[in-house]
Amino acid sequence: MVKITSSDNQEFTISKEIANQSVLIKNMLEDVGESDDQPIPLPNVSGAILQKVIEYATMHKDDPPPAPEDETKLKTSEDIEERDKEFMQLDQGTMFEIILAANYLDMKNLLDLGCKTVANMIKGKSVEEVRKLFNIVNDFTPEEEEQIRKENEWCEDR
Amino acid sequence: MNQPFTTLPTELVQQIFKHISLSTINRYHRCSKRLKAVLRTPDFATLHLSTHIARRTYPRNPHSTHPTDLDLLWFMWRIEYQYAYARKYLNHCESLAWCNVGAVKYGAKAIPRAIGEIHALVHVDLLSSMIIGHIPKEIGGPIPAEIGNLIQLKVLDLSGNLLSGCLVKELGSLVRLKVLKLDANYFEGVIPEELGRLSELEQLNLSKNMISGEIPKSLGMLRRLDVLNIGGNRIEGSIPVELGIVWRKVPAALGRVRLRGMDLSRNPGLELQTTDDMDRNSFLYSYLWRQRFL
Repeated sequence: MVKITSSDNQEFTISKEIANQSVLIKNMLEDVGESDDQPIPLPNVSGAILQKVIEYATMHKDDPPPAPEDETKLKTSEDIEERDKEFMQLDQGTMFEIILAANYLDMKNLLDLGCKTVANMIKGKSVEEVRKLFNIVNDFTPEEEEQIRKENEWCEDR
Repeated sequence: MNQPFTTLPTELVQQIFKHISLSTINRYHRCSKRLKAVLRTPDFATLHLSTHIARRTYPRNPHSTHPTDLDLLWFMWRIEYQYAYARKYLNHCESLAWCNVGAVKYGAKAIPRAIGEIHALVHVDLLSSMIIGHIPKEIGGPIPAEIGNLIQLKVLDLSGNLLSGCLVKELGSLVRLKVLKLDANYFEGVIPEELGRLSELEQLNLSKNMISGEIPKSLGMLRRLDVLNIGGNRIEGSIPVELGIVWRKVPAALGRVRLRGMDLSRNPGLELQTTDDMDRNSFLYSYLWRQRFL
């Protein structure tokens, strides 16, 4: 078993196969060796988020090892497993925190899932809708915005 | 505390947006200054293309000549995508024989500068490829100077494409060129002297443009020239004596005149007179004679 602690000092005990899904933790474990009983500090991830990340890792612990990359098939953002879709039914803030945590912990599948989920929220939306969705402040002057619209004319009307 | 979208690091913003389709990504440049900057980097272009193009399909067969839809989109993409695509997916191409493909329906207005990245190119044929049906309102851009990087090139045919601007002197770097066809465009300015360096050139067609100035003497160095057509321009002055050398130096034993065809017609300012230096019984002389009186 492996112990990890979150930024707010919550301690979690997880099995090694779950821990190893994070390349960061896997490398740390290899560095410190088996014998060390000290918990691994993860100062960039809060307890609440770590809880979710462990939930994801547990759900996927029996996945077959990734097949060698299928070069003819593209991994589109449409092909998300149903259980993963349910897992990502979260408020936006939590979603971004999970993406950040997955990036920090080096968990490629979770990072991909998070990014695809956000991308799917963007798809089909207008610029105004995306700004509103993510609280993005439009810092262009109307002239600048018109200029960009002109440069990208080809895509704007599709 | 919740993490807002705007604080995500650049790398993660790119990881998200790489899933947006190639045809709609540009609209999001307008969201904010930061997104515009992040989505217009060369790194993002490379990442984005590799997300949407299956790897096994590229690098493609270097001899395949039929353009894919993506190849045609290449003409209208933003410059960073054009470079990324040329470097990663077109780099082994020996031939862009994409004549009459109607790239304009994809918004093609110019030949991408990134063409200079496709170093293997031997054959470029974009004859009328940027015009389809009706003539577009705007005329196309100039030939990019980057074309001069394509030192393997043997055939360059850009006829009938509404291209404009001056003939770049970099054309003179294409030392293996055998065929240069730039006719029926809107080229202006003078014939660059550097064309005289194209020692392999067999066909030169600059007709039906708005090229002015005199015929450069250097064209007399094109010993292999077979067909010269500069009719329908605004060429002035007299025909340089040196042009006679093109055919005169061919050993008489060959029994024929090297230059098979020459058209200097429809250049109102050009004096169609030979000089004493020219052999009056020559092909050139008789040809000019015909031009004058036919």
